[in-house]
Amino acid sequence: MTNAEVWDDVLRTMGMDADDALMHRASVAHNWGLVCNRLKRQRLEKELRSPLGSRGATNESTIYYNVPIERMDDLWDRAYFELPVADIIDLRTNGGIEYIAYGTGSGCIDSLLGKHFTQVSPSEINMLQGHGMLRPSPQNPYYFRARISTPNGIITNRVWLYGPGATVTNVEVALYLSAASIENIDPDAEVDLPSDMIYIAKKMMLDLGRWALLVPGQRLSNDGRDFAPYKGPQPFQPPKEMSINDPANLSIDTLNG
Amino acid sequence: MANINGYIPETQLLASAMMRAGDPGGNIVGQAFYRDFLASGLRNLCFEAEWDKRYHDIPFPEDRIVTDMPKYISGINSIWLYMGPMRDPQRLNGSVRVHIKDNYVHDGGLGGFQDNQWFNFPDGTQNSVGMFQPYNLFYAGYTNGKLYLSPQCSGYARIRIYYTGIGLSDYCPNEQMQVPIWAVDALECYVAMRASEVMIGLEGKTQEAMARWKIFNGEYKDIRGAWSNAKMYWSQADAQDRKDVVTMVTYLGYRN
Repeated sequence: MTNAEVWDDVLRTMGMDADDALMHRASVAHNWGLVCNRLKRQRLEKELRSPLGSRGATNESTIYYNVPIERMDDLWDRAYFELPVADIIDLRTNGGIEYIAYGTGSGCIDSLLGKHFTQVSPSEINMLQGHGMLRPSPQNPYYFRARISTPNGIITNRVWLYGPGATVTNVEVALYLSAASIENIDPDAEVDLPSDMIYIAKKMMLDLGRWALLVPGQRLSNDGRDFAPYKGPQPFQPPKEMSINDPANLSIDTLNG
Repeated sequence: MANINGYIPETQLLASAMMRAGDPGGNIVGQAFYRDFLASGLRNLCFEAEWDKRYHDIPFPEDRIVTDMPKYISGINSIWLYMGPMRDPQRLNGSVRVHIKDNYVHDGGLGGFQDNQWFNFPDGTQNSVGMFQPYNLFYAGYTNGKLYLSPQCSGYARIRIYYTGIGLSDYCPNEQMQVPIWAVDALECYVAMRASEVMIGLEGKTQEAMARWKIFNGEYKDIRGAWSNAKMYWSQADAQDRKDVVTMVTYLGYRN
């Protein structure tokens, strides 16, 4: 199923499939980006923090190889690489990075090929520097994400590496990409969600769309007295506040089965 | 039970421990931190089952102060001097035992600060006639991480220290820990218990997290848990031991 097929389905459900309808594909495409990102994150948080780990979401990570390592002179030659994509999902367990590993031809010694880096915070790195066994070293490589302010502005897509030797030139990384940029979703691309989650996505789309339609009618007289008894019933009542048990909030519903 | 050469590499144990802790990729706790859990487990186990037998062999220092002592030990078994007297490398049969004397420290000279200075009668390390030591008694003091050998020791060329380690040779990132096979289950549970503690901190005391922690804590603490079993495996006599006991008491009259 393609993105456009879902959009048309949503528009038809809302009665917005005529030529003179108020909503078109462009209006729902934006919501589609929001919904897909939220569902992807919910699903990954659920699976990656379960005993299944990333086995529970097998089609989500994307491997990039030969990602070059740079070193920043102003920070004592601290190593880093630039994320090869615009945005990744900032997951709790790994910051959207499934793994970083020494790749083939990266210049590391053979026994370290494929060894994974461990995620830490900058403060943890500070303490680990004094740890006999766990201090950053080629055998114990670490990473963390942080933006950096430079004369050319703030750079947001850096991943900092501690431990790899000076000869290591590149790494292999696997990333959890967020859904395509909401300004640039390909209508003909396959839906980037498991097929059984399209139901939840559609429900969330309808909620978002219905709310957009309600707001103008309800707020015609913006005097803060929408529910005053003498004013009579409003043409539309706002939807109930979303329950925490709504599928949009309940991550167990995003678990397959 | 003899521990001859049955070790598994650390990654083999850690993979199983991560699986049991509910963190199969090691991403929740962090892969590197599991190594530290294993190092703690090995260290603790070595104080309870002294399987990691090692020796440290060094030349006799000119000033009789040994600074190069083994770092990571769970106990010293014995200290020996050998190849001597007169430092003749060909005389290998001249090994003598060194005893530890409380509070004995010197600065390289013949004198020294010691427990019984000027009050020698109750102490076998001193002749009752004065401050001179018996010629055939070799002793040392152990202070500030250094071994201070008595003047009588000077006739020997090398020192050999038998000790039990903590399962590690050097506490560094290159360390490849070796786990004896009889302790694999105990250490798996220990590592998983430590990981479960971290995960309780991350996730809260959920039913799953607490259930896992209780299982592994039970294996560590219970009298019939994996930790206890490992100590039993180490200390029980195998067939070789039993036969040796028979030989000793039947023909040699004692068990040394």
